[in-house]
Amino acid sequence: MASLTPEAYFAPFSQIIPDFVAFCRKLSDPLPVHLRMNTLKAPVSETRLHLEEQGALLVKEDPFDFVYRAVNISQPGHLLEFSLGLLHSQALSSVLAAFVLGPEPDETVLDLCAAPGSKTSLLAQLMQNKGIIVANDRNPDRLIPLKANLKRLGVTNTVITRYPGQTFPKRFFFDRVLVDVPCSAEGTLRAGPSGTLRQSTQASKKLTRLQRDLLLMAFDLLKVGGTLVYSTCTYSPDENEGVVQFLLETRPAEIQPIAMDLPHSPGLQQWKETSYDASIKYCWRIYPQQIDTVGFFMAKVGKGS
Amino acid sequence: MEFFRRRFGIPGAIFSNYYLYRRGRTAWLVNKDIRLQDLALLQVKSIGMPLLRWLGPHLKPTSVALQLLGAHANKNIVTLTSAQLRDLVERREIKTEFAGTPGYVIVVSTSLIIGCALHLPGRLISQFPRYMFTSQTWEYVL
Repeated sequence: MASLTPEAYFAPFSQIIPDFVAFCRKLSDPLPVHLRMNTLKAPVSETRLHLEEQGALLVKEDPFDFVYRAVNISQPGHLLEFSLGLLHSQALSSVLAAFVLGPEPDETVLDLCAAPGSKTSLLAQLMQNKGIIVANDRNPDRLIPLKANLKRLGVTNTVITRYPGQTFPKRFFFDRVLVDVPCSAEGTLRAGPSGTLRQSTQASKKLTRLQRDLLLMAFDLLKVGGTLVYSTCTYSPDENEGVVQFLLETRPAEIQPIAMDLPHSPGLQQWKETSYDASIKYCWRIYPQQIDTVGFFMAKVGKGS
Repeated sequence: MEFFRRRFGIPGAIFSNYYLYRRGRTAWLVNKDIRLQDLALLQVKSIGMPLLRWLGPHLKPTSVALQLLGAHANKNIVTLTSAQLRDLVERREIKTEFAGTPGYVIVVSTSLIIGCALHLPGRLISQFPRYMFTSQTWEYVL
């Protein structure tokens, strides 16, 4: 399985992935390194200057003022600036999810599956370290990098909890909820020098059930009038549109358009024998030939009265 | 907060936006928000950022707290060259001609706040967490 070419591996999705040839070709390129400048520690201009004085080639990623593609940095974790929390290595798709959630300072935010904390720390940055973030993850091993990243990045508005996300207690309700669920992670796959994928993944019914349960709980923990973002790094419709469809059938949820001008594909209206609600077209599918980052899906969900 | 004012000249007003929590020998700094009281309904594993630790009768600031608050300090700041910083990280202790009073200091290098060290007469002892730097931090060339 691990020796499949992108064409063979993703053949089942060839009808839904736009420009499938370009998609497969893109998977032969290495994943670019993106650096998110951490404004909780220093202004973007200062950190950028430090890096450029050392010879870093940085290209700003519009529309984000604080995200740069690092052309000649392959291992940002070795940078002194990384150790000091002045920057974080973060996929552009991960930045997008937090940005689309759009938290305001002084709001209450839940990150239901928070580890390792890349999105949590960006939420804190967008909130200027104000308000409250509850960063939850059920896996004790994953709490270690979560705590380390939040500490390194100077986050002071976050509380860490360790509940299974699908049974998070309904004792406190949030203005915004991010639920970046465990998924088959096909969007992270890239081909090695041999032209074959480095690894393989597989969706399972158990995983889809977990994703549904997590999304329902995330929605139940949202205040009326609040905003939720559901995201995965997979192309599988069962894990994306299928899960969102389940939410629409069981809760008074509303899929909202994402007001950003970036290349993407709309959510699917149909997959095999299954049709999806018309509003699912507002969801975003991001493929690497559109934005050179991890393949991604996100849905912005509102909660009416 | 008197410790930070006395030792580093960091104004007490800086802390007016935070609550301080103490658990065991560690004090944590967390953004001041009245709604935190409601979170007592949850089983909280960790809150905010570690600010300082009690070591016997002494208070030791964390490196991450100094990175965040150190820009407001005006004393007991030791500036090192890149080579001196690398020596301090690798050997954990270097000689210094710093003339301040013994105690914890803020280490600055190439205008970046690095973290906490202990100054004893003629000596500077690293208090940086070992995980802070990788084996390649000093070799890594762009």
